[in-house]
Amino acid sequence: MKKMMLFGAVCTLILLAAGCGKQNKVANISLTMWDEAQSPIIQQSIDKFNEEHKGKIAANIELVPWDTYWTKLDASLETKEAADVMWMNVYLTKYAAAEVVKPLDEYIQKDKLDLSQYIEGRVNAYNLDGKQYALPKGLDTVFVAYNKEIFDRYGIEYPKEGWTWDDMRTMAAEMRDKIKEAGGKEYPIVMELDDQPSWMNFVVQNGGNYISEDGKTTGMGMDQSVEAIQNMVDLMNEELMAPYTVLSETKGTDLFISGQGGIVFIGSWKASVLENSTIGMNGNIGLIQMPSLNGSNSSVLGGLGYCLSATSKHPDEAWELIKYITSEESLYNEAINGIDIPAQIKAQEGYVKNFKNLNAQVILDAAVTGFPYQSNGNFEWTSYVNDAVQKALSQSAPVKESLVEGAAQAQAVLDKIYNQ
Amino acid sequence: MNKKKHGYSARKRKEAVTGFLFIAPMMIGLLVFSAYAFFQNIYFSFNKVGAFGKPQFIGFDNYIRIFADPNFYIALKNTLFYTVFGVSFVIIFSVIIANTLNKKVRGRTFYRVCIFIPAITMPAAIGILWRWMLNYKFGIVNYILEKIGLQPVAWLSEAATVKWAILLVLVWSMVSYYVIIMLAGMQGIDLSYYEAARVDGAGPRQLFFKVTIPLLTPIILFSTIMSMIGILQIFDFIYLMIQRDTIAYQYSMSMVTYFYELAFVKDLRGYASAVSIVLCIIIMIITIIQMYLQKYWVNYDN
Repeated sequence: MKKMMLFGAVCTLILLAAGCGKQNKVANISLTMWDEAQSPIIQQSIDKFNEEHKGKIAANIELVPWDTYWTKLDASLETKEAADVMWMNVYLTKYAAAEVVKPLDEYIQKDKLDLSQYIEGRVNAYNLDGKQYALPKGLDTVFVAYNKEIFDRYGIEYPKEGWTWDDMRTMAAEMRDKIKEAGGKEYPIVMELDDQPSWMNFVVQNGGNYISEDGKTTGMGMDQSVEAIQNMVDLMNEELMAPYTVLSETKGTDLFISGQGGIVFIGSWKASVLENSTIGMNGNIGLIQMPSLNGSNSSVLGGLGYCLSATSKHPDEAWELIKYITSEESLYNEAINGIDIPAQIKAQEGYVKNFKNLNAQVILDAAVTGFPYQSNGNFEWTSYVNDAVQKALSQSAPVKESLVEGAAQAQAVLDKIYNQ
Repeated sequence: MNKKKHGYSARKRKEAVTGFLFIAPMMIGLLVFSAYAFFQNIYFSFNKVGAFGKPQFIGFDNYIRIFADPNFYIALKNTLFYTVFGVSFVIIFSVIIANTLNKKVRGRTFYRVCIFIPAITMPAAIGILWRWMLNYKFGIVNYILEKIGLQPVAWLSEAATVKWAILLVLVWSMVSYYVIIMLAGMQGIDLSYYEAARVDGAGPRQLFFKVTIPLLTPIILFSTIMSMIGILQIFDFIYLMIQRDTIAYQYSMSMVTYFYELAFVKDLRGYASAVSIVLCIIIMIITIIQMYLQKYWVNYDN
C-alpha cells in the first residue's frame, strides 16, 4: 500500500515537471495596474498582443486597487517578484532613484521607435537625467462639469467660456438663493477635496506652488497659496459650496451624479462615469474649462506611462508588450471606449468621437494650458502640507496659520533630505 | 534489567522525534513569519530603511526622534482613548448581554445567533458597512435621526464625534466575540453556588454581583488582557472608515495607523519599526501590570 502511494506520487511529480518544462517555452509576463474601469479595454489589447505572439509570449493583467497599488508595488519590487510592466505616474522619481525600473533607451534606439508620435510633454515627463524610463499612455486633465437640469430648474444661465472665479461666485450665489427659495437641498458647487481636481489648481493659478520645479522648496506657505485656499473656505462659508463635513465624507463626483450639485470640479478619469450617468444620458451635462483665478485657468495635467521592471525575467518580451499597448492601434481603442485620453497624437481622434453625452473637446482643450502635477517623488514632507490644507478647509485653524505652519514643517523635512 | 531500560529510552526518543516532526510545520511557520519578522523589525528600528530595503545603521536616532514627534503623541493619546473606553465597554456589555442570554429567555437561540454574527464577519465588511451607515448625507443613522426630528450628525467628520464613532464600531464588533467567552464562563459556574445563595435569601441582582461576577473574574481577567492587547493595536476600522486626506484622520489616528503611514506612505520604515517597538513595550508593560494586579481581584476556584 505504502509502495503504491509512493509510486503514484513520483509519477505525478514527473508529469508535473514535464508539464512545467513545456510551459517554460512561453514567456509569461504580467502588467500591473489599478482602475478596474479601464482593465476590460486594456485586456482587449492584451488579447490581441497574445494572439500575435502566440506560443512565444503570454501576457496577463494584475489588477490592484488604487489604495494599495503603490504599497504592493514597493513590496514586490523589493522582493523581485514584481510584474514585468507597471503603470507609472509622476512618482517615477522615487523608482528611478532606487533603480528598480529599467531605462528604455536601448530598446527605443534598437527598434527606432519614433517618439514624436506622442505628446512631447508626456514623453518628457518620463525622461529623467536624460534616460527615458517609460512610454506614455495617456493624460488626465481637470475641468468643470455642470448639471443643465439644475440650471434650467432655477433659471440660471449656463457658465460661459472664459468665465472667472468671480463670475462663478456670482452664479453660485444666485443659485444658492433660488435653491433656498424653492426649499431645495442641492449645493451650487461641489468638489473633491483632493489636490489634483481642486486645490493644487487654485494654488498654481493664483501664483503659488505645491513644490518648486527643482523639487526642493514648497510654496504652500506663500500668500498666493494661502489666498487660494482661503477662496475655497469662503465658498463654503457663504454656502456657495457644500460644507466640509459633506465633501470630506462623500465624493464630489457621487454628489454630482446623484443630482446634488450644480457644478463639480472633476477629472478626466471620471469622464466615463459622467457619460454613463443618468444625468449624462439625459443630455444634461455640460463641460467647461475651470474659471480663471487671477487671470489663469491653468489646470493640473496628470498622465500615466508604462515602466519596465529592472528585475523582469523577460525584459525583451516585456518591451514588446510596452511597445504594443502604447501604439496608435491600442490607444485608439482606449480612446473610442473613453477610458483615457491618449498621449499618442493620432489616437486622440477617437476620444472625442466616443462621447455622445459630453462635449469631450473641452477635456482635450484643458491640456493646452495645463501644467504637470507637482511632485518630487518623495512623500516624507507631503503629509505636513496636505494635513495643513485639510485643517484650513475644515476651519479647525485659520487658513494662514495652518498653511504657514505646515509649509514650515514640510520645508524642514525637505531641507534635511536635500541639503545632506 | 538493563535491556528494559535501553528499550524504554529508545521508544521515548522515537516518540519525541515523532512529536517534533508533527509540530515542525507550525514551528517553521512561526519561526519564519513571526520570529524572523519580529527580530528583523527590532533590527530595522536601529536603521534608516527606505522603500526598497537598504538599511543604514543609525543607532538610537529613531527612538530619540519619537520623543520629539507630536504626531506620535496624538496617536498615543487616541490609542489610549480607544483602549480605556473600548475595554470597559466591551467587558461591561459582554457580561450584561451574556447574563441575559444565560437565562431562559424566549427566542434565546435567535438572539445568540444575532449576537454572534459580528464575530464571524470580516472586519473589512464591518468597516465599509458602518462607513456608509454613518455617512453624513446618505447614511441610515442620520436618516433615522432626521425622521425623529433630530439634527443629523457628521459622525466621521467632526472632531468631537469621530473617535466615538470608531469606538462604537469597535465595541460592536468585539462584544460579539466576548459574549461567547463570558457565556461559556457563566455556564461553567457550579449551580450549587446559586442555590446556596438563594437559600440565604439573595435576589437576582445580588446573585449577579455576589455570585456570578466574582466567579467570572478569571474569565474577565482573560478578556480584559486580550481585548486590551487587541485594541491597543487598532488599525483596520480607522483605515477603512476614515479617508487619509481629511481632518477626521488627524483626530482619530492610532499608533498602528501612524506606523502604516510611516512605513508605506512616507517610506520611513526604520522609524516605523521604532514606533512599533515602542508600542510593543507599552503593551508588555500594561500586561505585566495586569498580571501583577490580578491577585487583588481575581478569584480562582480552589
